[in-house]
Order: sequence, then C-alpha cells, then structure tokens
Amino acid sequence: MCVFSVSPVLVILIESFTAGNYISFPPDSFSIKWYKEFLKRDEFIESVYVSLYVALMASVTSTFIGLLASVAMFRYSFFGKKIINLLFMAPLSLPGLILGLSLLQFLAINSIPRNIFTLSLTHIVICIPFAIRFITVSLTGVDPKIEQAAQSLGANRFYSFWFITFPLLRPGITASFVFSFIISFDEVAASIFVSSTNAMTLPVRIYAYIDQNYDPLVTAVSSLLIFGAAIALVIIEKTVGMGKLFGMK
Amino acid sequence: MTNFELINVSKQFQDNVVVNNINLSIKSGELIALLGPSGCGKTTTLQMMAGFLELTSGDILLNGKSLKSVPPHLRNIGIVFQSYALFPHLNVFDNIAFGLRMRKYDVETIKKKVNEVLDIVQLNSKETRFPKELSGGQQQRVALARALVIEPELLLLDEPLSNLDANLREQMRFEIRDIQKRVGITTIFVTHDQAEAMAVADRLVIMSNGHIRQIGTAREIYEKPDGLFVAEFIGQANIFDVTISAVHPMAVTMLLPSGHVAQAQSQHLFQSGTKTKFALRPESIDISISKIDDKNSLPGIIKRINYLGAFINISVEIGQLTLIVICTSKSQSLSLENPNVFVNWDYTCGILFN
Repeated sequence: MCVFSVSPVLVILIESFTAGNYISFPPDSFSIKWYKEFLKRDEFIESVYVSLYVALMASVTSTFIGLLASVAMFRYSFFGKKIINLLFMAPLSLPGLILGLSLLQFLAINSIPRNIFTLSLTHIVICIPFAIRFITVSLTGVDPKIEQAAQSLGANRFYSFWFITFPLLRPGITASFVFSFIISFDEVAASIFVSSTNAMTLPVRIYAYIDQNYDPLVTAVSSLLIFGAAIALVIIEKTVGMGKLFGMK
Repeated sequence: MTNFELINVSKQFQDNVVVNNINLSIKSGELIALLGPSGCGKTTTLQMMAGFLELTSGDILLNGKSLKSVPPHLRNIGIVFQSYALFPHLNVFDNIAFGLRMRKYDVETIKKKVNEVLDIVQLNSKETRFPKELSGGQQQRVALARALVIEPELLLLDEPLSNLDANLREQMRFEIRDIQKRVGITTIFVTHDQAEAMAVADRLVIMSNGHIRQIGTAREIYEKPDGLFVAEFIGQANIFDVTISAVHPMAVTMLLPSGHVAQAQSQHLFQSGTKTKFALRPESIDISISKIDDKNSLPGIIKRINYLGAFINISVEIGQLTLIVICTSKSQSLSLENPNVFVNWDYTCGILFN
C-alpha cells in the first residue's frame, strides 16, 4: 500500500533530474538543469508567492472564522442555528469546479476584478467547513462546566474563554490551520476559474503549462514542493512533535 | 442573622415552569441540603444562585444585597460541580491558584493560601500533578480546595459525590462536612441521595416538581413528613388508604382496607366518612404471637422474612393490605412455619394526611 502511493512521487523526483528535454523514465542522463530553469521562470516564482500568500490567508482567516462559528454553534442555541450551520458546511458539498465557475460568474456580473483577494476569498470559503469540523471536535472534548467554574472563580466571559477554553482548543485550531493550508495550497478546481494573469496559484500555473508543454520543468517544480513539504514535516517533528501538535500525546 | 435568601424565585422556560415560587432563608454557617428526585428543579435553582441562569421572577439576596444584576464572576460564590470541572491543562497548584490570580493576589500570598487549602483537603504532595493523574476522590478534593481558597461567601455543591463509588462517597461526605464546619462557610448541597442529605445537612429542603415540599431537620422530616411526597421519598413507609369511621378529641378511628379498625392521633379535625391516606414507618411496627392490649394490634400472616444482618425485613399480609415491618434481629424468632401473628403499633405512631 505504502509503495503504491509513494511510487508516483518517486518517479517524479527521479524524472526531475533528467538531462534531456522530454519527460522520460528512467532518464538517460542526469542533470539539475531543470531546477535552474525553474529559477529563471518569473511566472513560476511569482505563483509560488501567490500560493503561499493565499494559503496563509485562507488558513488564518478560516481558522479564525471557524473558531468563532464553532464555539457559537456548539455552546448556544439561537434562531436560525440549523440554517447557519448548513450554510457554513455547504462548500463541502460543492465540487470545486462548480464553486469556481459560479464565483467567476458572480464576480463578472458584479464587475469585481479577479485578483489575489478574490482568490483568497475563494479559498477561505473552501476551508471554513474543515476549520469548523476540526475545532468542533476539540470542543466536544472540553467539559462545558469548566467555563462556569472559571467564571465562579472570578474570570469574566472573555477571560474564561481565553485562559481556559482556548488553550484546550489548541489541537483543533492547529489541525485546522495545517489542513487548511494544505488544502488551499493544493487547490486546483476552483482556482482555475478564479485565477487571473496576475494572481495565479502554483497548481494552476503547472496545469496551464503542461497543457501546452511537454518538458520536465513541472517535475522540477513538483519535486521542489515535495522537498518543501518534507522539510516542513521534519521541522515540526523536531520542534513540537507531530503527535503533540495534534494533541495526541 | 440571615445570610442567603431566595424570595419568590421562579424559572420558566417557554411554557415549562421548572422552579415555582420558592422561598428559602439560610443562616450563616449552615449546611443546607437541596434534596429531590431528578427533574425537581434543584439544579436549576443552583444555577440561578450561581448566576448562570436568569430568574424569571423573584430575587436572591446575599447578606441583604440583591444578586439579580450581579454576573457570576462577581458573586464570590464557590462552586463544586458534579464532574469537578477541573482545568485539564493546568496542574493542581494552578487549578487552585486560578481564582486567586483572577483576584490579582501577589505570588507570595497565592503560594501561602494554596498551601493552606491543600492542607485542609490533605493533598499537599500533589501540587504538580495534573487532573488526569489523580483519582476521583483526589480530583474532588482539588475541586473543593479550588472553591474554598477564594474565601467565598457561599459554597454550592452540585451533586459532588455522584461520580464516586459507594465506599468513597460515604467517607467523603463526612470529610466535606468536617471541612465545612471547620471553615464555617454557608453551604448548599444539592443531591438526590437522601441518606447523604440526612447524614450531612443541618436542614433539608425537599423539592419536587419545582416546589419546596418541606424544610426541616432530618428528624423533623422523617418523623413528621409534610405531605405524601415527603413521606414516600424519605425512608421507607407503609402508605395505605383509610376511611375515617369515628372522630375523637385529637384522635380518630380509621377503617383499613382489610376491614380492621385502628386508632391514630390527629391534629386535624376530620369528618366521619372522609377517605384519606395513612403513613406508617416500618420500624414503628412490631410483631407478636398474641394480641396486645394498649396498641393497635391486628392479625396478619407472614409472607416473607429477609434476614439483613442488623435488621429483619418482614412482609405481613392483613387482608388485602401488605405491611413492611422492620425489627432488629434480636427480637423474637420468627419463621414462616408459624405465619399467624399479630402486627402492633402504638396509637401515637404514623401520620394521617388531610
């Protein structure tokens, strides 16, 4: 099973070191020229920044909104709660394609330009259901009486949330942040529609490129992403520890 | 001097009146048990005292001052919850210190106060432990310490012993009582366990369906239950329908369902022919081989004998009436071989309801 899922990645990694001008496996000769080529392509570099920016915006904002929404819906009953809950979860039921297409129409009709902000907004919408899910799971593990206990001891509503509930939600918040980042960074379907020439995420750039070209540039780009992810994982493991990050230790 | 008062307090959720016009006056230093079956409104009442629920009507006074507009964090009321509600991410010391830190005490004072209260609950060596590393009984003591350290005006205990096993419950109820007496803090103890309430409280408040049925000491409530609910809820009781057949000064003659007659005391002036209920405690009844003269003495047949160590629980049939009798094992030997006996109780025993 492991070999099955890892092997395509390995293949791409190996192909990226080819000296030739076509994607071939296994490569006849090795070189790092395609990595050098990538550094020369401004549009790709720009897309890396766009993807990072959008992913950061999406993860931070959706986690923040998700936190507020989860706590409100978990703790209180109010008029229209069921409908609001459905609205928040709705993006999950939409294929990215439909979401992207309808957003594109919406923006066009209202003369809103496609730029990095609308792109971020799209990603936020996509990520919020995940944020709410993760944080709600954390909430279920918290005894609702502890906030009452904190209040009885002199903490007002804000302090009891900040000092007591919030620290206990850290696993959910962290999971929300990390997964939202990944989801946003990898998002293709909706991003294809909402991207524009000056705001195009990396996956969309890659997709557009392979539509027209057959050279191994994209294998180099993909490999760089894989290296980046691997380094991030190692850093997390060495500093905080993966288990602890998600509250499992 | 009255310390804590509930005046005409009611709580209504839409159409459902959960707490119905209750009045309660608690003296400084008293331990009051709020006792009743599930759904009687005792927890709702506690939540209103603590400030987590708004009153639909009425008022709550602490030392004469209304608490109605005071939010929970300013009421200075210590609470111990059924689940203890300890902060899982803080160790024992920090859990207890939380209230003191909210009150902005300095580090030295906090240390001193926390250690003092750890002494009182006997958990000195466990400061650095986390709640999940403690046993149920230890967690409970941390919860108590945390509530006491802020030196509150009032202590509310919401079924604090329900999550403990039977042996620990018995031990902890007396420990809590000792601590409460030593510290001298006015305390309200919510429970559905009558043995607990009777063992520990200065006075009991019996609730059902949002109403207070009776307030009194354990003895008052047991010996003079005010109404059918209290008689059935506290201890065991034989309760049966009777018809008043004759009226005397301060007493009546009543006709039992079995067709026999018996005498009972009554403050209330009944009319002949009235149908009502009579409650008789099992331990007020004794059994003899022959009829006894100056007591109610009725012929019956022993149906069941249960030897329970210190006591014997006997079921006796008198016509269609079945009475439960409890006597000590030392009394005469009874056996199913000789089931025909007489069932006796004093004229002064039992409660006649009106």
